[in-house]
Amino acid sequence: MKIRKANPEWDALINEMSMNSASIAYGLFTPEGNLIFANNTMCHYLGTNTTELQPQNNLINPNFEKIVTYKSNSELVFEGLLTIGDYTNKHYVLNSKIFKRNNTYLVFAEADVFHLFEENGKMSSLNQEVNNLQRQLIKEKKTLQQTLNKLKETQQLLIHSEKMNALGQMIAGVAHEINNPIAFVTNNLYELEKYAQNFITAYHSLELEVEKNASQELKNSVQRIREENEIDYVTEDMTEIISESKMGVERVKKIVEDLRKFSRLDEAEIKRIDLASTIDSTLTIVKAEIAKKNIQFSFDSTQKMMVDCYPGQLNQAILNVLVNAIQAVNDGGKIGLQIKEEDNQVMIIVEDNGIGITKENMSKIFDPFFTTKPVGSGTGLGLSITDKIINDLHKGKIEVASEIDKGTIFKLIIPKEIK
Amino acid sequence: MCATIAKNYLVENPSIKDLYEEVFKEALYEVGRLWEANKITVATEHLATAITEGILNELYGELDIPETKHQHKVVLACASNEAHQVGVKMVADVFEMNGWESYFLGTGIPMSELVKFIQQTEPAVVAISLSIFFNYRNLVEMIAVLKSEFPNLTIIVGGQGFLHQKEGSFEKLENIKYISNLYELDTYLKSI
Ligand code: B12
Repeated sequence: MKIRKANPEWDALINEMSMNSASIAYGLFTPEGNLIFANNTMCHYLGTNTTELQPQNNLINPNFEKIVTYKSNSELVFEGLLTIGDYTNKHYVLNSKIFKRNNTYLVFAEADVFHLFEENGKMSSLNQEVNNLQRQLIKEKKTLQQTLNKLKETQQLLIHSEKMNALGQMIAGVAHEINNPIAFVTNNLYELEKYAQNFITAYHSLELEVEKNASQELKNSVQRIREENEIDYVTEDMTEIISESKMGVERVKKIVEDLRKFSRLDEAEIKRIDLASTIDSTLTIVKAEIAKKNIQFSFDSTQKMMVDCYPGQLNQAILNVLVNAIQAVNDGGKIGLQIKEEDNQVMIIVEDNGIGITKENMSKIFDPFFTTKPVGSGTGLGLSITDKIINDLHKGKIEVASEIDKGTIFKLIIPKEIK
Repeated sequence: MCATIAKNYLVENPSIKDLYEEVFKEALYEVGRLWEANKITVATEHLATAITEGILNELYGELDIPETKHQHKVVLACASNEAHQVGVKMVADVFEMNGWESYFLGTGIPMSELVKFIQQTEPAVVAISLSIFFNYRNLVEMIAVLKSEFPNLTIIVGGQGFLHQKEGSFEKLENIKYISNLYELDTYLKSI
């Protein structure tokens, strides 16, 4: 109480501050519990204000009936927790002391701020914990989603390779079945050509003989037969028909051979292949489309470049890119295919002058099921398969550059040798 | 509501770094000033931080994270006794946007646990945040332990604690990179 004596000039201010302190509450009460005087916070706890000093008798525990019964040797009649306020609604539990002097009670109550600070800290760190757990959860959800996507992708890839397998088996079967008849048709055609040649030579000799030695009557009759059967035309056309048939059969043979090469069921393992000629066989499959759209297509198939690869799969990868290029260009558009060798890597470059890929689509083109083609005309799997084949299977990479309405360049890059 | 505003912001300016630096950080710094000047209550400050962390979590779910095959790992934590974790959470996001796998440990991780965790995850980088200068000594001690346990570990530090240098005596940290904000961090990550 030294301060008090030494600084009486502060009394008023200290009084005023304590009147307005938010953490301490005090008030003077009659033994009936009616307020005589109170600071702001006490009024707040009691739900009243300093001028009205209403409501009365709002100490819940102990209440005034109890307080007046307390006996004590000093002025301090009670020390402990005081519950104050409106019991059914808002109430507070405070550390308190109650003093009695003459017939008046001083109730002095304060919140346990140390406890509050502690709780506040706990709450703060709990809040952080919840927040961090939430973040953790989001992260795990993401990982799950990624795993799910990967699984879906793998599933689709499996379904697709299953389909390709079935298709490949069918192609191989058909190719085998066609091979036999084609072989004897080819043989027979060569024989037929020989026979026809003999036949024509013989016929010409016969005609010469008739011209020289036969009677007029016989000559006339030969002439008639000759005209009736259009022998001149037939002999001329026969040679042509046979040579056309030979060409046709050769083409059938090549198609069958390409189909067999494409399906390559026998080549599920790494093989060293001649890249250009393999690509050439893949081209057979898209030739019709290229012709139909009048596309100016360029590829130098004479280049010699040997690479280690899974030939069937690599064909598939190139084919997918080519099919997209064909769909991307307008009628009469341009597609260039090149192969290059650089630092022990092989690049297969497909360049088109088609519609291009938008920036926002660029990040999605390798996603399974992403397609810009009309419903039903693409599965959205092509490039994702290409991606798998190049990246995963061949440990290579794909580079894409595209500009809207200018065109797109796809580079499939694989190591020349697979370790 | 706030999350919607944040998302709309990103529609107009898709830079998360701008949103974090110019909106969230600025707002929380203002909250700090108001709190210091007793213009807002502790409860309001808590609410503001909780809202921010809530939005951060929501945005975290939608972060555009590049898929890279060989992900580097980073472990992020606050200096001992540090209770401020919003900034370093943003730092974690920037790492992730650069294709890193982040392990955000936040505040209050005991040193022994941190060491164990680093042994398990084998991160390339450990990032430590300091918001209050009086925790600087703790940071120095932490770094000393980490350096002796993991001599090859890259340690980076950041946080506004370093901006209050004049308030305390700061000894120099050898071989430790200090990064002051998210832009600088982004440049750093793209350079290594
Ligand atoms: C929210 C808050 C709190 C919350 C934190 C809750 C939470 N979940 O994080 C709580 C309530 C816990 C809190 C407590 C305290 N706080 Co406080 N708090 C703040 C407040 C308002 C916002 C903090 C924030 O999130 N800022 C926004 C982020 C984004 O900014 P940032 O942390 O600076 O991060 C950026 C960069 O620094 C950088 N960065 C951060 N970390 C790292 C790490 C690395 C590796 C890198 C590369 C970069 C990097 O990246 C971010 C983006 O640029 C600030 C005000 C302010 N100016 O920031 C006060 C403030 C930091 N607190 C302050 C104080 C004093 C305290 C207490 C001591 C108060 C007390 N007496 O209880 C306690 C300290 C407890 C403790 N032991 O640490 C003071 C510090 C003053 C000083 N000179 O040191 C500030 C500045 C308020 C003020 N104006 O006085 N606080």
